Amino acid sequence: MSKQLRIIPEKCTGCIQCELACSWVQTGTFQPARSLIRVNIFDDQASYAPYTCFQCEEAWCMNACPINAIGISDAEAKVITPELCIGCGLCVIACPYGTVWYNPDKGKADKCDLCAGDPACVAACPTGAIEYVETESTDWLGTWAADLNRTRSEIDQGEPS
Amino acid sequence: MICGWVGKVLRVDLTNSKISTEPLREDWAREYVGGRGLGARYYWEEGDPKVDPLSPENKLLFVTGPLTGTNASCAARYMVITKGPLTGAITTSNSGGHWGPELKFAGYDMIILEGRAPSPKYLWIHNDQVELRDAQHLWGKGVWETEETLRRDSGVPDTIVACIGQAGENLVRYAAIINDLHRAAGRSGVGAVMGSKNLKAIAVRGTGGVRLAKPREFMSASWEMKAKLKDSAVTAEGLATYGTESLVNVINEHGALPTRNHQATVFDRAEDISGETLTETRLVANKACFACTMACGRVTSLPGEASDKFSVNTSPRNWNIAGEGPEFENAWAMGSDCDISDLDAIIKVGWLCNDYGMDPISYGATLAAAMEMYETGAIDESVTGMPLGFGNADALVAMSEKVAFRQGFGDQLAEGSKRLTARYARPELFMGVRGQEFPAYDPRAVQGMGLGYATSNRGACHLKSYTVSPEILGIPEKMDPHVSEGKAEITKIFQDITSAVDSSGLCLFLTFGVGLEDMLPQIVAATGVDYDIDTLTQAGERTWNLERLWNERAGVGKGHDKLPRRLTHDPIPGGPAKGLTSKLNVMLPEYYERRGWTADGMVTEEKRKELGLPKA
Amino acid sequence: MEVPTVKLLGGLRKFGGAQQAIEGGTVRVVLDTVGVPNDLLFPEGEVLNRDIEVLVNGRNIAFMADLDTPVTDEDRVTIFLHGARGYPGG
Repeated sequence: MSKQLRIIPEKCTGCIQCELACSWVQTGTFQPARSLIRVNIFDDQASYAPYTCFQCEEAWCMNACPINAIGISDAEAKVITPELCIGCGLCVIACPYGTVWYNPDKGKADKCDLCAGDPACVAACPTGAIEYVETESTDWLGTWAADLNRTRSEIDQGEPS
Repeated sequence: MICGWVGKVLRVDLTNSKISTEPLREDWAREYVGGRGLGARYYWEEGDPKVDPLSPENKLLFVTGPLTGTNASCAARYMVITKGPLTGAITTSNSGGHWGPELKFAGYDMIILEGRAPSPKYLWIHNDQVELRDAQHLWGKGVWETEETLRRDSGVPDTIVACIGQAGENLVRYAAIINDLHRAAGRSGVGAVMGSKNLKAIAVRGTGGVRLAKPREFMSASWEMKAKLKDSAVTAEGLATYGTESLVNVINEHGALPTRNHQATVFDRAEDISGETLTETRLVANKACFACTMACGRVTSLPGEASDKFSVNTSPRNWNIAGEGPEFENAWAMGSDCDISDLDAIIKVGWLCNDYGMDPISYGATLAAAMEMYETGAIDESVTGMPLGFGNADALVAMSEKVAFRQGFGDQLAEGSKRLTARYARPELFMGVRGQEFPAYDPRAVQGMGLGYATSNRGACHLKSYTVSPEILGIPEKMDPHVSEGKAEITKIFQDITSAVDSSGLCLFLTFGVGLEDMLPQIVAATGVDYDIDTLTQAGERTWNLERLWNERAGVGKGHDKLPRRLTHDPIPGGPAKGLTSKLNVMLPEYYERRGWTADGMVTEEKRKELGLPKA
Repeated sequence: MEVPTVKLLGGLRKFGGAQQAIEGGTVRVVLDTVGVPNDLLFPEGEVLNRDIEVLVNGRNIAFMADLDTPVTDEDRVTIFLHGARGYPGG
């Protein structure tokens, strides 16, 4: 068991406080373009979906990196060691979820490292749409998929899916 | 350079397709904080008060505040400043969404638009890349299609668009500028000014950031304000659950909800158009603007049969999925003011207003005036082309299209109710100030609002001194809405504080959860300027007086602080506020005195010097 | 028995119907029987929660006899949380 980010899109209002908090950690400014969590705003569906790396077990980014610059941290996050990263972008291409980014300012890749176990996005979210919780499985996407057919109130009441 | 700002102004000469940048006037940013104040200062310097608002000589300013784009709660706002075609006065239309922050991320604090493009154009801003591009293919299209097309064709999916719809193109005098599909710089006709310049849209993508003077202090200050907002469980619940629409019942229960063009102030079917009903029947989700921790936006849907029963289907968009609104003002103007209680019709026209790009308050209120003219025989079906008595929901829907395209009677409605009522020699039926229609609080039942409307620089507006807060909601302390005592004082204070909030880049809606003192530490930490409550409030006062001076030069200053005779002479016929009239004549002299103006409402030379205002 | 009309707005609706008849007397009696939990109405004991407004016939009781404002069966009592805090107008 390890702690993972769990995202509840039904609770998201699209305010992007998570992006602002993340970009603050990355850059010391408010710069959503450098955030490692992104909110997709689907206006015509009234749907807002934050997404970021969910630290998948396959770790395609880690496998793709030619110089082993990606490792696993104490928080069990896949993290890029910037001193080693050569900015080749293979991890960006390898990630099937699109959650590894190339940062043109640094010439290196960037991805979520769970803020070493204290994720800023979780603290910033005003509606509790991002949780950092113990999970049996790292597959929160699967849980999310199972939730898709449930209403928000059912989820709020914690009814099992 | 003071922080919070990028330090750069984008100037676009549309006539000659000339694009340039210049440094932000730091001294002005300091004196006027930003947003509304800073825009007023630039407009004072550059905006000729005598110009026709729809001529190329008028300028159109988009201005952010020092906090816009930060993570301060509700730091989403930008301000549009120009001479309003509805009013002939300086107007300050404010909008949220993501556009203002995006402009800053692209590297600009404000945009000054001048002249008129020879053919339809849109402005493309992608960081340093700024171009005027052909918009022939977008001209004639609604807001939603324009935004989607620009987003798709730009190849930059995160592009944020502010644009006009058909109403702006057709110079409807209350056309709006809409960004993020549903957020509006709504009133006074700023969209018509953009249309008169042949500018369809401003599409922005920025990847930069906002720099702060004292980052650590800023973060702790912004956390503190968020905690305060969250602390009030009441606030959190009310916001999330009912949005601004919760006010329908609250205002109606006070007997202050204008009905049938202000003939009455109690609407017997208020429940049908209330926030409670909306939430139970049509609400899909809450939506937040950039950095907003309150999320008052209402995403609504209309099931097929509810949508299809109306005749207007000009938009290619599938209406059945979701639109936004109505907000309280929207529900009032199209609801009780027109004696209409069909919530689906109100929702639908709210969406149409967003898509056509026009102000639902002025549209609804103008229609209400037309309905009274129709019922009293000033106009008949030969003029209107359809029955137009109060309560006609079909007409509400059908006329919205005719206004946006200026077809038939819609062409006359598009001029606003002041011009419409004057045309048929019924000027007493115009319910507004300086040519702009009232919002949703009857000045007889809420006395402070009467003074606020009458003295509002941009014409009747609830967002410049929202004394409903103490008079109805008891915030910060209860004031009796029926009496005029104390209202001059509170109105001046609210106007000055509101001007300061409007200048910061924060949303005015914050002021009901927190005070200026809670915003202050963020403004100081962001800019590095050591404002205190007094200097910040004084910056607001400076802005208010500068707008007033500008209006004076435009000929809509003193002598225009008036309410319609109906509100000052005709007592409310029934309900909780029965028998009341507005005591504007009592409040106004005291207000002038507290402002330090002359007895007839002129800014004195003394006041000008005290505030360091520029000379004419 | 005096039975005024009581109207709860917004978030208070969950404690009762939109409109209900209740035994009257004074506002205090109405509040005692209206179904809204006491700790919400009086979180600090005697004083009414400052986030709650009570109207009798559209007038705030603060400008009348407060909790002792008399209520008869002719009257209409409105109770709301000013949930509008945080969002003026629109």
